Amino acid sequence: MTDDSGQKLPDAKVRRGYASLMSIWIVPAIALAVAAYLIFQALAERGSEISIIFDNAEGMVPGKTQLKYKDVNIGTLSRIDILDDDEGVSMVIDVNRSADKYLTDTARFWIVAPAIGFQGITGLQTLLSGSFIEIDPGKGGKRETKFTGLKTPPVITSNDKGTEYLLSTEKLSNINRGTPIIYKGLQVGSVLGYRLAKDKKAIDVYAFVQAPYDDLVLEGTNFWNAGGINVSVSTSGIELGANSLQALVAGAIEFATPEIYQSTFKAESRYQFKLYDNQQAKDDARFTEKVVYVLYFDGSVSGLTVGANVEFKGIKVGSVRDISLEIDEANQKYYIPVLIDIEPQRIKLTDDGKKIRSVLETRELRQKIIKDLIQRGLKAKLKNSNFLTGALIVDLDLVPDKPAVYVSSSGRYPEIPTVPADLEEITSSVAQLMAKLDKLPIERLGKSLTGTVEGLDKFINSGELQKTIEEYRKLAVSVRVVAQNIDTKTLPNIGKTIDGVREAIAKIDETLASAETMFSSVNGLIADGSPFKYDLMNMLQELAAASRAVRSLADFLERNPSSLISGKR
Amino acid sequence: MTAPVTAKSIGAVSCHVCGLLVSNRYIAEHMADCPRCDAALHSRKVNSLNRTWALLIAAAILYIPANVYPVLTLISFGRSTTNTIMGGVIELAQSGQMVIAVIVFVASVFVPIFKIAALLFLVISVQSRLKVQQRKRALLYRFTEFIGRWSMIDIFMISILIGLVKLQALATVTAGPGAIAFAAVVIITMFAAMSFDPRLIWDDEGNDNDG
Repeated sequence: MTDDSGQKLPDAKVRRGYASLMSIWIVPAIALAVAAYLIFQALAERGSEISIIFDNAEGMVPGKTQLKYKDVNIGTLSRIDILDDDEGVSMVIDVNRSADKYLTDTARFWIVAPAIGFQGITGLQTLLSGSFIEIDPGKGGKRETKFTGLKTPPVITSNDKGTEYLLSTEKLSNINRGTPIIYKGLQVGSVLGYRLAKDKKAIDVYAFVQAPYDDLVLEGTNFWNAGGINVSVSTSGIELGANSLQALVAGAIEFATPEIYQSTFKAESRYQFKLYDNQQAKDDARFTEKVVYVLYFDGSVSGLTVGANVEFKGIKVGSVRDISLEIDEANQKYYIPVLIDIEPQRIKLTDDGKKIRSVLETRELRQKIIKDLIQRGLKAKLKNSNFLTGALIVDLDLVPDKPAVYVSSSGRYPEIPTVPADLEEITSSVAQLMAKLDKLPIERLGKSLTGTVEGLDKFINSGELQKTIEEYRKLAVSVRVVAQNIDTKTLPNIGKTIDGVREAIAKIDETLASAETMFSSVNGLIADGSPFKYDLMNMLQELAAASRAVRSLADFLERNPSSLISGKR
Repeated sequence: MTAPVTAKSIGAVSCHVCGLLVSNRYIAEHMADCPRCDAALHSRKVNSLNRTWALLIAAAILYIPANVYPVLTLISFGRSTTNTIMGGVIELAQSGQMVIAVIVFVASVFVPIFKIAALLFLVISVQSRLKVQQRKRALLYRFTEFIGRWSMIDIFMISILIGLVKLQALATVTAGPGAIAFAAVVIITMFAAMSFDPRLIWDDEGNDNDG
């Protein structure tokens, strides 16, 4: 074939074509499919919109803040509305469809933000990532889209397995949300919260014990507050104890089951326990059995308080229950009835191991023992337990030799007779002594004594004694003259050594001492104020002056030994 | 003005690769290769308008998810930030980086839309046998083909960021579904531009008697 110009064009090589196996229209089809898939996915992920009411929107950023469950994003905060009634803010959150199942009326929401508490630092990761909202889905329930957020993160989430118990306490002290619950030093749970009991008299503490450990909580288990510092003052000193630093600061609740209650059933959820103030209170509570007695004391009970110990020979057997004042208008008398609780369970019976008794029998036996003791002369008295504070305890003791005085007229409670307190006893026995002294024949005794004294007087004033003393006085004067002579005249001639002087002084001292003993024995014979005594006193004073002169001489010689040669200047 | 002589008008096919004029005796019935360089011979690009149409539609469809979905997810300090193309442009503009904002806007928003619109105009104008402003339309085509590749700037940027920013907890960048859609838009529009045969603009008959 030729073209217009007549030139021959080369023929094309014919080949087997693939035709258009695929139409180009597959491309937009695929594009459509991809776009459709993406849009579908977006619609599928776009779950429901929920709103959560919080107090404020601290740290919340619309479009950024996430809703997380177990640290997995399940939604994003889309906007924050301020509620019309000004009672907080409403967080509107787009929740993924996959998380729709969590949005039930048992779900709880809270804001995770860094917090430093007694239990440590939490939410540290949010320092960098910012706060987020966390959900605890709860356990089923109706679908819900409006929620109210928790002010603080819950102590446990619905995933924590365990049992919740109610602890009833008189006062909350240092128990708080999150206070640990300890079993043998191991933290096994925590306090979820607390609420005033329905009767407004106690506080119900909600305690949660984690799963494997809740088997340890039996119906007979005791819970007590193990926080704070335990201070116990005893004769051996002061003991200071605290469970752990955390317990010291944040408090702690400890529990244990007494040996005898080990066979009780496992406590059910929401079982109510009493929370004892401390371990001591818990230990005391073992003695459930209480017998009330009344005591009437004559004197003041100042220093005795409700709760003070009742001891028998130093062992606690009970405590003071009540102290009051009764005035008997008709008889113009007053009474101070002190009610005491005797806890018979504190008393062990020696044959307890051998004989098997029923609980009732044991109880009766114990009460009978106390009655017997009263009959055998059991008396109560007040005893000082602490001399610093003047605190009193009730001391029971067997005082069979004193008569039992019963005061009670009402007979509501059995009475234990009292005896005066030790101090009281002393004063009363002094009074008794005075009374006895009063009866003694003092006048007669006085007369004969006077006679004896007179006889003595005659003997002293007879003159012979006077003479003897006079002679001694002369002797003392001559001794003094000798001493003065030594000082002035014979000084340069007295021995060449101080030792010699010392010997002389010692001898003089001996003489003086023997003279003094002599004079003192004489002095014993003379009555006060007699002229002999006066003379004797004079003589002794002179003797003392003589010895002083000798001593000063010795001192002088010691300081100036040269004076022995050169004389005193 | 007489119509200029073209290969087509003299019953010949010009090889796309080596320019050899080949008689189109067989070409009407058979697939044919150039006897000199073995390249496939077509009088005009095969199915040019159809292909361009199909690719344009695909690109237009994908352009929606490309803009709706985030192209980039930056996880920094545990907080993830996602950005769509327009969102990124707005954020850049707000943070004062107007130059970069304009570049991103031109490369990522303006160019794809311009390409799709321009090709659409060319295809429609060829099909409606419009015989005006042929030179300007040819210029438009060349411009379209030229700027097409610049849209890939975004995709390259994202790829580099993903590769570089792997600081684990501090910052991690991942591509969003929008990035894939956007890359597809850019590639498909490039193919659409390639599959359009500008010679159709000049064909008297407007009869794309190809293949």
